[in-house]
Amino acid sequence: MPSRTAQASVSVAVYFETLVDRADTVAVATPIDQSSVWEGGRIVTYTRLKVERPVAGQAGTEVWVRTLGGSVGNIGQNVSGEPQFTDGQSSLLFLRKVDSAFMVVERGQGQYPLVKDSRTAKMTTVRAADVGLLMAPKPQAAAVGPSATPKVLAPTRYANTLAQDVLINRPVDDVARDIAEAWTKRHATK
Amino acid sequence: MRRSRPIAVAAVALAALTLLLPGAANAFCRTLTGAVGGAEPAAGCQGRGTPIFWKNRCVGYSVDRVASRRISYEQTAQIVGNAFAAWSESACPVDEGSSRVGIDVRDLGEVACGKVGYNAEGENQNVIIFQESSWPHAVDGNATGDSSTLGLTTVTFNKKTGEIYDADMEINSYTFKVSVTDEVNPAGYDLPSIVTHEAGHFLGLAHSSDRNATMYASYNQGETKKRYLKLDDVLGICSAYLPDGTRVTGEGTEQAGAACNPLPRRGLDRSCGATTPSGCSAAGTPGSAGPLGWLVSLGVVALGALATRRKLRPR
Repeated sequence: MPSRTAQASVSVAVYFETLVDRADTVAVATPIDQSSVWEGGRIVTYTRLKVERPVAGQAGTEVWVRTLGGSVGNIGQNVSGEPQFTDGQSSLLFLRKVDSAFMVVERGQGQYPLVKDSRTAKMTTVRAADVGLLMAPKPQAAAVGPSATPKVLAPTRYANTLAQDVLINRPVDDVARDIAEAWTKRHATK
Repeated sequence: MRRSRPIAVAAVALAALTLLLPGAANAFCRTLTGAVGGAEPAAGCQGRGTPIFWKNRCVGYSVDRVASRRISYEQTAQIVGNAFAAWSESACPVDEGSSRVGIDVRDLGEVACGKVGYNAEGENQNVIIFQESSWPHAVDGNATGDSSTLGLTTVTFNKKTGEIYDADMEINSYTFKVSVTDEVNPAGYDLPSIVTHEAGHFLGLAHSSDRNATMYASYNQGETKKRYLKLDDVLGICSAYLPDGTRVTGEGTEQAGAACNPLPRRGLDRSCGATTPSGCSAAGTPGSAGPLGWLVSLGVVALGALATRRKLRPR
Protein backbone atom coordinates (compact mmCIF):
# COMPACT_ATOMS: atom_id res chain seq x y z
CA MET A 1 0.00 0.00 0.00
CA PRO A 2 1.39 3.42 -0.77
CA SER A 3 2.19 5.56 2.20
CA ARG A 4 3.13 9.14 2.72
CA THR A 5 4.40 11.35 5.51
CA ALA A 6 3.16 14.75 6.59
CA GLN A 7 4.84 17.16 8.93
CA ALA A 8 3.38 20.06 10.77
CA SER A 9 5.36 22.73 12.47
CA VAL A 10 5.45 25.60 14.91
CA SER A 11 7.86 28.35 13.89
CA VAL A 12 8.87 31.77 15.06
CA ALA A 13 8.03 34.49 12.57
CA VAL A 14 11.25 35.81 11.05
CA TYR A 15 12.26 39.36 10.34
CA PHE A 16 12.62 40.70 6.81
CA GLU A 17 16.26 41.52 7.43
CA THR A 18 16.90 37.98 8.63
CA LEU A 19 15.79 36.60 5.28
CA VAL A 20 17.91 39.11 3.41
CA ASP A 21 20.96 38.42 5.57
CA ARG A 22 20.79 34.66 5.34
CA ALA A 23 20.14 34.44 1.62
CA ASP A 24 22.81 34.00 -1.00
CA THR A 25 20.40 35.00 -3.70
CA VAL A 26 16.79 36.09 -4.12
CA ALA A 27 14.82 35.37 -7.26
CA VAL A 28 11.42 34.76 -8.78
CA ALA A 29 11.48 31.23 -10.15
CA THR A 30 9.15 28.59 -11.59
CA PRO A 31 9.52 24.81 -11.11
CA ILE A 32 10.19 22.79 -14.24
CA ASP A 33 11.43 19.45 -12.95
CA GLN A 34 11.44 17.49 -9.71
CA SER A 35 13.04 14.37 -8.28
CA SER A 36 12.79 12.79 -4.82
CA VAL A 37 15.34 10.51 -3.17
CA TRP A 38 16.03 8.89 0.18
CA GLU A 39 18.72 10.60 2.22
CA GLY A 40 19.53 9.17 5.61
CA GLY A 41 16.06 7.80 6.23
CA ARG A 42 14.28 10.90 5.07
CA ILE A 43 12.90 11.72 1.67
CA VAL A 44 14.13 14.93 0.11
CA THR A 45 13.07 16.51 -3.14
CA TYR A 46 15.27 18.32 -5.62
CA THR A 47 13.34 20.78 -7.73
CA ARG A 48 14.81 22.46 -10.80
CA LEU A 49 13.46 25.97 -11.22
CA LYS A 50 13.79 28.42 -14.04
CA VAL A 51 14.82 31.82 -12.78
CA GLU A 52 12.31 34.24 -14.19
CA ARG A 53 13.62 37.30 -12.45
CA PRO A 54 16.82 37.70 -10.45
CA VAL A 55 16.15 40.05 -7.54
CA ALA A 56 19.42 40.02 -5.59
CA GLY A 57 22.63 38.03 -5.68
CA GLN A 58 23.67 35.63 -8.43
CA ALA A 59 21.16 32.91 -9.21
CA GLY A 60 21.95 32.09 -12.84
CA THR A 61 19.24 30.94 -15.21
CA GLU A 62 18.29 27.79 -13.31
CA VAL A 63 18.58 26.61 -9.74
CA TRP A 64 18.15 23.27 -8.00
CA VAL A 65 16.39 23.62 -4.67
CA ARG A 66 16.44 20.93 -2.00
CA THR A 67 13.41 20.55 0.25
CA LEU A 68 12.35 17.99 2.83
CA GLY A 69 9.60 15.61 1.85
CA GLY A 70 8.37 14.07 -1.38
CA SER A 71 7.54 10.64 -2.64
CA VAL A 72 9.72 7.69 -3.48
CA GLY A 73 7.92 4.62 -4.70
CA ASN A 74 4.91 4.05 -2.54
CA ILE A 75 6.21 6.03 0.43
CA GLY A 76 6.08 9.77 0.67
CA GLN A 77 6.87 12.55 3.08
CA ASN A 78 4.99 15.81 2.99
CA VAL A 79 6.64 18.34 5.27
CA SER A 80 4.42 21.13 6.54
CA GLY A 81 6.36 24.31 6.93
CA GLU A 82 8.62 23.34 4.06
CA PRO A 83 8.42 25.18 0.74
CA GLN A 84 6.29 23.33 -1.77
CA PHE A 85 6.53 23.74 -5.50
CA THR A 86 3.45 23.36 -7.67
CA ASP A 87 3.72 22.99 -11.42
CA GLY A 88 3.76 26.36 -13.10
CA GLN A 89 3.45 28.28 -9.83
CA SER A 90 6.07 31.02 -9.62
CA SER A 91 7.45 32.06 -6.27
CA LEU A 92 9.71 34.70 -4.84
CA LEU A 93 12.43 32.70 -3.11
CA PHE A 94 15.15 33.52 -0.61
CA LEU A 95 17.82 30.93 -1.35
CA ARG A 96 20.99 29.81 0.32
CA LYS A 97 23.57 27.58 -1.35
CA VAL A 98 24.24 24.37 0.54
CA ASP A 99 26.62 22.01 -1.19
CA SER A 100 25.42 21.53 -4.75
CA ALA A 101 21.89 22.81 -4.32
CA PHE A 102 20.03 25.70 -2.78
CA MET A 103 17.77 25.55 0.25
CA VAL A 104 15.01 28.02 0.96
CA VAL A 105 15.95 30.26 3.87
CA GLU A 106 13.72 29.62 6.89
CA ARG A 107 11.73 27.03 4.99
CA GLY A 108 8.20 28.18 4.09
CA GLN A 109 8.89 31.67 5.40
CA GLY A 110 11.34 32.16 2.54
CA GLN A 111 8.83 31.34 -0.19
CA TYR A 112 6.15 33.75 -1.47
CA PRO A 113 3.97 32.47 -4.31
CA LEU A 114 2.92 34.98 -6.95
CA VAL A 115 -0.68 35.46 -7.95
CA LYS A 116 -2.34 37.98 -10.20
CA ASP A 117 -4.25 40.57 -8.26
CA SER A 118 -7.78 40.58 -9.67
CA ARG A 119 -8.19 44.30 -9.01
CA THR A 120 -4.87 45.71 -10.23
CA ALA A 121 -3.84 42.85 -12.55
CA LYS A 122 -0.37 43.07 -11.03
CA MET A 123 1.57 40.02 -9.94
CA THR A 124 1.42 40.00 -6.17
CA THR A 125 3.26 38.06 -3.48
CA VAL A 126 1.12 36.03 -1.10
CA ARG A 127 1.59 33.81 1.92
CA ALA A 128 2.47 30.23 1.04
CA ALA A 129 -0.15 27.63 1.78
CA ASP A 130 1.68 25.61 4.35
CA VAL A 131 3.92 27.85 6.40
CA GLY A 132 2.70 26.30 9.64
CA LEU A 133 1.94 27.86 13.01
CA LEU A 134 3.81 31.14 13.38
CA MET A 135 4.59 32.59 16.77
CA ALA A 136 5.61 36.16 17.43
CA PRO A 137 9.37 36.48 17.93
CA LYS A 138 10.81 36.98 21.39
CA PRO A 139 13.74 39.20 22.27
CA GLN A 140 17.13 37.90 21.24
CA ALA A 141 17.59 36.50 24.73
CA ALA A 142 15.17 33.74 23.81
CA ALA A 143 17.70 32.06 21.62
CA VAL A 144 19.93 29.57 23.40
CA GLY A 145 21.83 28.28 20.38
CA PRO A 146 24.99 29.99 19.13
CA SER A 147 24.48 33.41 17.66
CA ALA A 148 24.76 33.32 13.90
CA THR A 149 25.01 37.03 13.16
CA PRO A 150 27.02 38.79 15.84
CA LYS A 151 28.17 41.47 13.42
CA VAL A 152 26.14 44.66 13.32
CA LEU A 153 24.83 45.32 9.84
CA ALA A 154 23.44 48.49 8.38
CA PRO A 155 19.76 48.81 9.18
CA THR A 156 17.18 49.06 6.44
CA ARG A 157 13.92 50.91 6.49
CA TYR A 158 12.36 47.61 7.52
CA ALA A 159 14.45 47.11 10.63
CA ASN A 160 12.58 44.96 13.19
CA THR A 161 9.77 44.37 10.73
CA LEU A 162 8.50 40.86 10.21
CA ALA A 163 9.05 39.37 6.78
CA GLN A 164 5.37 38.63 6.41
CA ASP A 165 4.57 42.30 6.93
CA VAL A 166 6.91 43.33 4.12
CA LEU A 167 6.48 40.50 1.67
CA ILE A 168 2.84 39.46 1.65
CA ASN A 169 0.08 40.95 -0.51
CA ARG A 170 2.25 43.47 -2.31
CA PRO A 171 3.08 43.86 -5.99
CA VAL A 172 6.19 41.86 -6.73
CA ASP A 173 7.79 44.88 -8.38
CA ASP A 174 7.59 46.81 -5.12
CA VAL A 175 8.83 43.87 -3.10
CA ALA A 176 11.75 43.30 -5.46
CA ARG A 177 12.76 46.92 -5.17
CA ASP A 178 12.72 46.78 -1.38
CA ILE A 179 14.70 43.55 -1.31
CA ALA A 180 17.32 44.92 -3.69
CA GLU A 181 17.67 48.05 -1.60
CA ALA A 182 18.00 46.09 1.63
CA TRP A 183 20.38 43.66 -0.01
CA THR A 184 22.73 46.44 -1.02
CA LYS A 185 22.83 47.80 2.50
CA ARG A 186 23.09 44.54 4.37
CA HIS A 187 25.44 42.59 2.16
CA ALA A 188 27.73 45.56 1.59
CA THR A 189 28.38 45.69 5.32
CA LYS A 190 28.76 41.94 5.86
CA MET B 1 -10.27 -0.91 3.44
CA ARG B 2 -13.88 -1.83 3.83
CA ARG B 3 -16.74 0.57 3.50
CA SER B 4 -18.97 0.10 6.46
CA ARG B 5 -21.68 2.70 6.07
CA PRO B 6 -23.06 4.88 3.32
CA ILE B 7 -22.03 8.43 4.00
CA ALA B 8 -23.84 10.28 1.27
CA VAL B 9 -27.20 10.32 3.03
CA ALA B 10 -25.56 10.87 6.35
CA ALA B 11 -23.66 13.88 5.12
CA VAL B 12 -26.83 15.60 4.03
CA ALA B 13 -28.47 14.95 7.36
CA LEU B 14 -25.51 16.11 9.25
CA ALA B 15 -25.16 19.43 7.64
CA ALA B 16 -28.32 20.67 9.22
CA LEU B 17 -27.65 18.97 12.51
CA THR B 18 -24.21 20.39 12.80
CA LEU B 19 -25.54 23.86 12.35
CA LEU B 20 -27.69 23.31 15.39
CA LEU B 21 -24.68 22.80 17.60
CA PRO B 22 -23.98 25.94 19.57
CA GLY B 23 -20.94 27.72 18.22
CA ALA B 24 -20.28 25.09 15.60
CA ALA B 25 -18.44 26.92 12.86
CA ASN B 26 -16.71 24.03 11.13
CA ALA B 27 -13.49 25.98 10.91
CA PHE B 28 -11.35 22.93 11.65
CA CYS B 29 -9.59 21.00 8.94
CA ARG B 30 -8.22 17.52 8.74
CA THR B 31 -4.84 16.78 7.27
CA LEU B 32 -5.13 15.30 3.81
CA THR B 33 -2.80 12.91 2.07
CA GLY B 34 -1.97 15.23 -0.82
CA ALA B 35 0.63 17.96 -0.91
CA VAL B 36 -0.45 21.53 -0.36
CA GLY B 37 1.70 23.94 -2.35
CA GLY B 38 0.87 27.28 -3.91
CA ALA B 39 -0.83 30.17 -2.21
CA GLU B 40 -2.70 30.04 1.05
CA PRO B 41 -6.43 29.79 0.37
CA ALA B 42 -8.54 32.76 1.41
CA ALA B 43 -10.91 30.44 3.24
CA GLY B 44 -11.54 26.77 3.83
CA CYS B 45 -9.14 23.91 4.15
CA GLN B 46 -6.11 23.26 2.00
CA GLY B 47 -4.54 20.26 0.42
CA ARG B 48 -6.00 17.38 -1.51
CA GLY B 49 -6.47 13.69 -1.15
CA THR B 50 -8.07 11.76 1.66
CA PRO B 51 -8.11 12.64 5.38
CA ILE B 52 -5.61 10.84 7.57
CA PHE B 53 -6.56 8.95 10.71
CA TRP B 54 -5.35 6.43 13.28
CA LYS B 55 -7.11 3.16 12.60
CA ASN B 56 -6.73 1.61 16.05
CA ARG B 57 -8.86 2.64 18.96
CA CYS B 58 -5.70 3.42 20.91
CA VAL B 59 -2.48 5.07 19.86
CA GLY B 60 0.69 5.09 21.92
CA TYR B 61 3.60 7.48 22.15
CA SER B 62 6.95 7.51 23.89
CA VAL B 63 9.10 10.30 25.24
CA ASP B 64 12.84 10.19 24.65
CA ARG B 65 14.26 9.57 28.11
CA VAL B 66 17.01 12.12 27.56
CA ALA B 67 14.26 14.74 27.45
CA SER B 68 15.93 18.12 27.93
CA ARG B 69 18.74 19.54 30.04
CA ARG B 70 16.25 22.10 31.26
CA ILE B 71 13.14 19.97 31.56
CA SER B 72 13.18 16.55 33.16
CA TYR B 73 11.76 13.43 31.59
CA GLU B 74 9.05 13.36 34.25
CA GLN B 75 8.02 16.93 33.59
CA THR B 76 8.09 16.40 29.86
CA ALA B 77 5.99 13.26 30.16
CA GLN B 78 3.49 15.19 32.26
CA ILE B 79 3.21 18.00 29.73
CA VAL B 80 2.87 15.64 26.81
CA GLY B 81 0.36 13.54 28.71
CA ASN B 82 -1.75 16.58 29.47
CA ALA B 83 -1.62 17.66 25.85
CA PHE B 84 -2.84 14.34 24.53
CA ALA B 85 -5.41 14.04 27.29
CA ALA B 86 -6.90 17.32 26.20
CA TRP B 87 -7.67 15.68 22.87
CA SER B 88 -8.53 12.16 23.94
CA GLU B 89 -10.89 13.32 26.67
CA SER B 90 -12.88 15.49 24.33
CA ALA B 91 -16.62 15.16 24.78
CA CYS B 92 -18.29 14.89 21.41
CA PRO B 93 -21.82 16.17 20.92
CA VAL B 94 -24.24 13.34 20.29
CA ASP B 95 -27.99 13.15 20.02
CA GLU B 96 -28.46 13.22 23.77
CA GLY B 97 -25.64 15.00 25.51
CA SER B 98 -22.07 14.05 24.76
CA SER B 99 -19.79 11.06 24.55
CA ARG B 100 -16.04 10.69 24.70
CA VAL B 101 -14.14 10.86 21.43
CA GLY B 102 -13.35 7.48 19.92
CA ILE B 103 -9.59 7.47 20.30
CA ASP B 104 -7.44 6.89 23.34
CA VAL B 105 -3.82 8.00 23.59
CA ARG B 106 -1.42 6.08 25.84
CA ASP B 107 2.03 6.89 27.18
CA LEU B 108 4.14 3.82 26.40
CA GLY B 109 6.96 5.03 28.58
CA GLU B 110 10.43 6.20 27.75
CA VAL B 111 12.57 5.16 24.83
CA ALA B 112 16.34 5.08 24.94
CA CYS B 113 16.82 7.06 21.79
CA GLY B 114 14.79 9.32 19.62
CA LYS B 115 14.37 8.18 16.06
CA VAL B 116 12.20 10.38 13.92
CA GLY B 117 10.77 8.74 10.85
CA TYR B 118 9.07 5.57 9.81
CA ASN B 119 10.55 2.12 9.51
CA ALA B 120 8.59 0.32 6.81
CA GLU B 121 10.12 -3.03 7.63
CA GLY B 122 10.49 -3.11 11.40
CA GLU B 123 9.46 -1.75 14.76
CA ASN B 124 8.73 1.91 15.22
CA GLN B 125 8.41 4.68 17.77
CA ASN B 126 5.88 7.45 18.00
CA VAL B 127 8.45 9.54 19.75
CA ILE B 128 8.51 12.96 21.36
CA ILE B 129 12.05 14.25 21.31
CA PHE B 130 13.90 17.41 22.29
CA GLN B 131 16.57 18.37 19.79
CA GLU B 132 19.15 19.78 22.19
CA SER B 133 22.54 19.42 20.58
CA SER B 134 21.53 20.66 17.16
CA TRP B 135 18.49 21.42 15.07
CA PRO B 136 18.83 19.05 12.14
CA HIS B 137 16.53 21.00 9.87
CA ALA B 138 18.55 24.20 9.91
CA VAL B 139 18.92 25.87 6.55
CA ASP B 140 22.66 25.52 6.34
CA GLY B 141 22.55 21.83 7.04
CA ASN B 142 24.99 21.84 9.91
CA ALA B 143 22.64 23.07 12.58
CA THR B 144 24.09 26.38 13.69
CA GLY B 145 20.80 27.46 15.09
CA ASP B 146 19.69 29.23 11.95
CA SER B 147 16.14 28.07 12.20
CA SER B 148 12.84 29.54 13.19
CA THR B 149 11.20 26.19 13.80
CA LEU B 150 10.17 25.45 17.39
CA GLY B 151 8.28 22.23 16.95
CA LEU B 152 7.80 19.77 14.14
CA THR B 153 5.50 16.78 13.90
CA THR B 154 6.05 14.12 11.28
CA VAL B 155 3.10 11.92 10.44
CA THR B 156 3.55 8.91 8.17
CA PHE B 157 0.49 7.50 6.52
CA ASN B 158 -0.80 5.35 3.75
CA LYS B 159 -1.23 7.62 0.77
CA LYS B 160 -4.24 5.76 -0.56
CA THR B 161 -6.27 5.09 2.56
CA GLY B 162 -5.05 7.84 4.85
CA GLU B 163 -4.30 5.44 7.68
CA ILE B 164 -1.59 6.87 9.90
CA TYR B 165 1.33 4.53 10.43
CA ASP B 166 3.59 6.62 12.60
CA ALA B 167 3.95 10.07 14.14
CA ASP B 168 6.90 11.81 15.78
CA MET B 169 7.23 15.18 17.41
CA GLU B 170 10.45 17.21 17.62
CA ILE B 171 10.95 20.20 19.89
CA ASN B 172 13.74 22.62 19.01
CA SER B 173 15.21 23.35 22.43
CA TYR B 174 18.61 23.87 20.84
CA THR B 175 17.71 27.21 19.36
CA PHE B 176 14.95 28.32 21.71
CA LYS B 177 14.08 28.33 25.36
CA VAL B 178 10.78 26.79 26.21
CA SER B 179 8.67 27.73 29.20
CA VAL B 180 6.55 25.37 31.25
CA THR B 181 5.10 27.72 33.84
CA ASP B 182 1.60 29.14 33.80
CA GLU B 183 3.11 32.58 33.43
CA VAL B 184 5.24 32.21 30.36
CA ASN B 185 8.89 33.04 30.84
CA PRO B 186 9.55 36.26 28.88
CA ALA B 187 12.54 34.63 27.27
CA GLY B 188 10.74 31.44 26.33
CA TYR B 189 7.87 29.90 24.46
CA ASP B 190 5.05 28.02 26.12
CA LEU B 191 5.85 24.33 25.73
CA PRO B 192 2.40 23.05 26.71
CA SER B 193 0.84 25.22 24.00
CA ILE B 194 3.31 23.98 21.42
CA VAL B 195 2.81 20.35 22.35
CA THR B 196 -0.99 20.59 22.46
CA HIS B 197 -1.02 22.14 19.00
CA GLU B 198 1.39 19.53 17.67
CA ALA B 199 -0.66 16.76 19.30
CA GLY B 200 -3.54 17.86 17.11
CA HIS B 201 -1.35 17.32 14.07
CA PHE B 202 -0.20 13.99 15.53
CA LEU B 203 -3.83 12.91 15.58
CA GLY B 204 -4.48 14.03 12.02
CA LEU B 205 -5.81 17.55 12.30
CA ALA B 206 -4.64 20.45 10.16
CA HIS B 207 -4.86 24.16 10.91
CA SER B 208 -8.19 25.75 11.68
CA SER B 209 -9.44 29.14 10.56
CA ASP B 210 -10.97 29.74 14.00
CA ARG B 211 -8.71 32.34 15.62
CA ASN B 212 -9.49 31.02 19.09
CA ALA B 213 -8.74 27.40 18.30
CA THR B 214 -5.65 25.56 19.46
CA MET B 215 -5.21 24.51 15.84
CA TYR B 216 -5.20 28.09 14.54
CA ALA B 217 -1.97 28.82 12.67
CA SER B 218 -0.86 31.84 14.63
CA TYR B 219 0.04 32.46 18.22
CA ASN B 220 0.74 35.49 20.35
CA GLN B 221 3.76 35.78 22.55
CA GLY B 222 3.15 34.89 26.19
CA GLU B 223 -0.21 33.24 25.66
CA THR B 224 -1.11 29.89 27.15
CA LYS B 225 -4.58 29.58 25.69
CA LYS B 226 -3.54 27.00 23.11
CA ARG B 227 -3.12 24.56 25.97
CA TYR B 228 -6.88 24.38 26.17
CA LEU B 229 -9.07 23.09 23.36
CA LYS B 230 -11.91 25.18 22.03
CA LEU B 231 -15.17 23.95 20.57
CA ASP B 232 -13.77 24.01 17.07
CA ASP B 233 -10.90 21.74 18.14
CA VAL B 234 -13.32 19.34 19.79
CA LEU B 235 -15.52 19.22 16.71
CA GLY B 236 -12.42 18.55 14.65
CA ILE B 237 -11.23 15.58 16.65
CA CYS B 238 -14.77 14.27 16.96
CA SER B 239 -15.20 14.43 13.20
CA ALA B 240 -12.30 12.03 12.73
CA TYR B 241 -12.86 9.66 15.63
CA LEU B 242 -16.54 9.13 16.32
CA PRO B 243 -17.36 8.07 19.87
CA ASP B 244 -18.44 4.60 18.78
CA GLY B 245 -15.03 3.93 17.27
CA THR B 246 -15.97 4.75 13.70
CA ARG B 247 -13.25 6.42 11.67
CA VAL B 248 -14.43 8.74 8.94
CA THR B 249 -12.17 8.16 5.97
CA GLY B 250 -11.94 9.40 2.43
CA GLU B 251 -13.60 6.25 1.20
CA GLY B 252 -16.40 6.06 3.73
CA THR B 253 -16.02 4.86 7.26
CA GLU B 254 -14.06 2.23 9.07
CA GLN B 255 -14.63 0.70 12.47
CA ALA B 256 -11.81 0.56 14.98
CA GLY B 257 -11.52 -2.78 16.70
CA ALA B 258 -12.86 -3.11 20.22
CA ALA B 259 -9.43 -3.96 21.65
CA CYS B 260 -6.95 -1.29 22.58
CA ASN B 261 -3.56 -1.81 20.98
CA PRO B 262 -1.51 1.35 21.34
CA LEU B 263 1.73 -0.15 20.06
CA PRO B 264 3.34 1.44 17.01
CA ARG B 265 3.10 -0.38 13.72
CA ARG B 266 5.05 -3.65 13.87
CA GLY B 267 5.83 -3.13 17.53
CA LEU B 268 7.67 -0.67 19.72
CA ASP B 269 11.35 -0.02 19.15
CA ARG B 270 12.62 1.31 22.47
CA SER B 271 16.28 1.39 21.55
CA CYS B 272 16.65 2.32 17.91
CA GLY B 273 17.12 -1.07 16.40
CA ALA B 274 17.95 -3.25 19.38
CA THR B 275 15.59 -6.18 19.82
CA THR B 276 12.94 -5.33 22.30
CA PRO B 277 10.03 -7.30 23.60
CA SER B 278 6.69 -5.88 22.78
CA GLY B 279 3.36 -6.57 24.32
CA CYS B 280 0.50 -4.61 25.58
CA SER B 281 -2.96 -5.60 26.56
CA ALA B 282 -4.33 -2.33 27.71
CA ALA B 283 -8.08 -2.24 27.66
CA GLY B 284 -10.20 0.71 26.84
CA THR B 285 -13.51 1.31 25.21
CA PRO B 286 -14.41 4.92 24.84
CA GLY B 287 -18.03 5.73 25.27
CA SER B 288 -20.35 5.06 22.43
CA ALA B 289 -22.55 7.50 20.68
CA GLY B 290 -26.02 7.07 19.36
CA PRO B 291 -26.61 7.12 15.64
CA LEU B 292 -27.47 10.78 15.64
CA GLY B 293 -24.15 11.71 17.13
CA TRP B 294 -22.41 9.58 14.59
CA LEU B 295 -24.27 11.34 11.86
CA VAL B 296 -23.47 14.77 13.21
CA SER B 297 -19.77 14.11 13.27
CA LEU B 298 -19.83 12.46 9.90
CA GLY B 299 -21.54 15.41 8.37
CA VAL B 300 -18.98 17.77 9.78
CA VAL B 301 -16.14 15.96 8.14
CA ALA B 302 -17.97 15.28 4.92
CA LEU B 303 -18.68 18.95 4.48
CA GLY B 304 -15.12 19.77 5.38
CA ALA B 305 -13.85 17.44 2.73
CA LEU B 306 -16.12 18.92 0.12
CA ALA B 307 -15.00 22.41 1.01
CA THR B 308 -11.41 21.34 0.76
CA ARG B 309 -11.71 19.74 -2.61
CA ARG B 310 -13.07 22.87 -4.17
CA LYS B 311 -9.77 24.51 -3.38
CA LEU B 312 -7.60 21.84 -4.85
CA ARG B 313 -5.26 22.29 -7.69
CA PRO B 314 -3.36 19.42 -9.19
CA ARG B 315 0.29 19.44 -8.42
